[in-house]
Amino acid sequence: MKNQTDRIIEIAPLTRVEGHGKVTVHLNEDNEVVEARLHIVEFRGFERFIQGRMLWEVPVIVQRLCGICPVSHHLAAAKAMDMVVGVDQLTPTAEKMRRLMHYGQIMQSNVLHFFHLSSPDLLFGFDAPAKKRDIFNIIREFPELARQGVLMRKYGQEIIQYTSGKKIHGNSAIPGGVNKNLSLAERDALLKDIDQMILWSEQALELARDYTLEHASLVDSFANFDSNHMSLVRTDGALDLYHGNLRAIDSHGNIIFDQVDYRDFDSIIQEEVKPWSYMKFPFIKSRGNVDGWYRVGPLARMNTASFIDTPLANQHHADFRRFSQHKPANMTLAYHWARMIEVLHCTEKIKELLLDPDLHGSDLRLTGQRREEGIAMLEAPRGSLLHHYKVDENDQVTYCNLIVSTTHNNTAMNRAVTDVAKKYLSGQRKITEPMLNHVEVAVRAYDPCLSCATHALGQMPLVIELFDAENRLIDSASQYATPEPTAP
Amino acid sequence: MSAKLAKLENPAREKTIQPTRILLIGYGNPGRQDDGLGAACIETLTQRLAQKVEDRVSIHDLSNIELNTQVVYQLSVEEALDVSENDCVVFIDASLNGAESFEFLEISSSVGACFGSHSLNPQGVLELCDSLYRKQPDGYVLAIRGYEFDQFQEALSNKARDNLYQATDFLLHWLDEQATQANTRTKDDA
Repeated sequence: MKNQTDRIIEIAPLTRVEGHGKVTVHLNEDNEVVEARLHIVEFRGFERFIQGRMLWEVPVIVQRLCGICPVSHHLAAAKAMDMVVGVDQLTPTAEKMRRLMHYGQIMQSNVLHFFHLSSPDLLFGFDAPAKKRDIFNIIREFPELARQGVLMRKYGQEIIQYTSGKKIHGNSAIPGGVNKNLSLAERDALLKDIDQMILWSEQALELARDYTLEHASLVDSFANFDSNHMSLVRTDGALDLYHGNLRAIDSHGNIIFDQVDYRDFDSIIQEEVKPWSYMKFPFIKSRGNVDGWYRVGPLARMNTASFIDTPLANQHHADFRRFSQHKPANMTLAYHWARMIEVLHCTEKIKELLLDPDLHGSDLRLTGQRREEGIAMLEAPRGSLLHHYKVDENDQVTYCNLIVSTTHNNTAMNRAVTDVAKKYLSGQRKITEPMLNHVEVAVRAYDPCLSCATHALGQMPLVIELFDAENRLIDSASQYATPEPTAP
Repeated sequence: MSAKLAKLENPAREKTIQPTRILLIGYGNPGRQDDGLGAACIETLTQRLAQKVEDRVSIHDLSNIELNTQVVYQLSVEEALDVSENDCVVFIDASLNGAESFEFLEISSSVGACFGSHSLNPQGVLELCDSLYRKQPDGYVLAIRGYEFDQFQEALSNKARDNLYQATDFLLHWLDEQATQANTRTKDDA
């Protein structure tokens, strides 16, 4: 029961987080944090929007869901529709084209997050003035790092363009395969810079690793809490971002389940609804809703994978595992290091694929015995992404359910927010912007994609508001707002 | 990586006289109703230039303009590199609460730059361009007023469609002016 004199601090929406969200911090009369909650302003109309669509158009349409990770949705939908058209194994050319696209997407997404969204916090410190903690100051003080980030991101976008056919709204992944291969000219254009990308990836990874090691005390005390972890892994336990079976471990590294076919997802995962959030809270059924919540994404993947099948990333994975003493790393800030190991892995995989002649093959698409249901999972930049469809005899979608990475991490993000708020806000007479930034840093580590909203000019103000127990506004501050263009 | 719509037609001149490079970036999510105005504007403009539709706007000689176009969901850091390779950039987006039917505003990197993964604004792109590549192309925003944004629907509202055509008319006029100025400069240089 909330004390009558409780106050609420709102941070809404979060800056440098995809989409819209707000954090409310509930204080009691002694200014102690009682609880903190991450609220998601999520549009839930998409699944209904898909109903009635033809199965072949779904992989293209789902890209409308998100401006941040359209490629992940494109591939997950195509993979689900493979099952519907009865194709369980793609041709080598089709699978490798899709993998190349996927690695390009994860690379550019993780690069954006590290170089341009998180680096201001890591390089200037969480307490630095808000005006200092942005990309423009990174450019001023670390210009080479910023330039590398731009070029790496552009490289990832070029892979997406060459493999998906277009820079946005690509259409190459189709039910049963792909509709294009990689030309020799496209391969040569990408090969020209791949060694540079691998080098920069490893240098950036070392920056993230060194930050973690040099700030071990902070990393160890900042939103570090036990949790379960879940991801796809290959049959031999290797990290596999495109395909595999599910593995979940507890906070000590004990296996909860392993090599579970993701098509049996419903038998192991359940979703809980809470009245204060639009977003569901998934949990592992066998552990129950109190203890069964889990993390997904880069940190979880480093914890669940037995090894990585590219040499440089595997060495760094071994370093990471030594750092966590061969137990699951539960430090929220370790997400950054884990994310950059994945970037290195992706660049290594990209090179491996570019040297594979299968990419230029002409056997692009298969057909099989038609099914009524399609379920697909892949490891998107932010974590496991599930697409589930039912399709009728007229090829029209009758059912659609998507469980996105941010939903999997819902409980973990709320735990992180509460943990940090209690540590940095409790008992403070005045809540300062750097204190609030600590809360945002905790959320940002998960790189959440909070919704797939529009961003037209005039939107996205950031307002911090303080309410008392009776919801009276007692203070507010505009931390960040999108300025209108200046008149000529 | 931009699509080139118009190029120099006289290779002899290419050696000595550089065309005015104009980049049009339409951005937004076409799956969110009027948020697709930026992409629709690029598409409409491209069609009208290709078909040489001159019923509403007379299009003169664009030979001294190199016109590049891009359509993206949202502005991101890599746009700074493309912008740095142009003399002028126009950011085309839907406007939630701007003037009807559209606004065309000059912007600069020094005022209002901000960056977030979901909210890198045009001024921010210019600021990144300046900071990273020491280039300061002229910057403009074409903000086309939209009305419907909340549904997953790939269609513009009727009012937004009207605004789109007026904005495209304006953009064609503006390109024509830029071409005229470029032609004048070319003659002067010659």
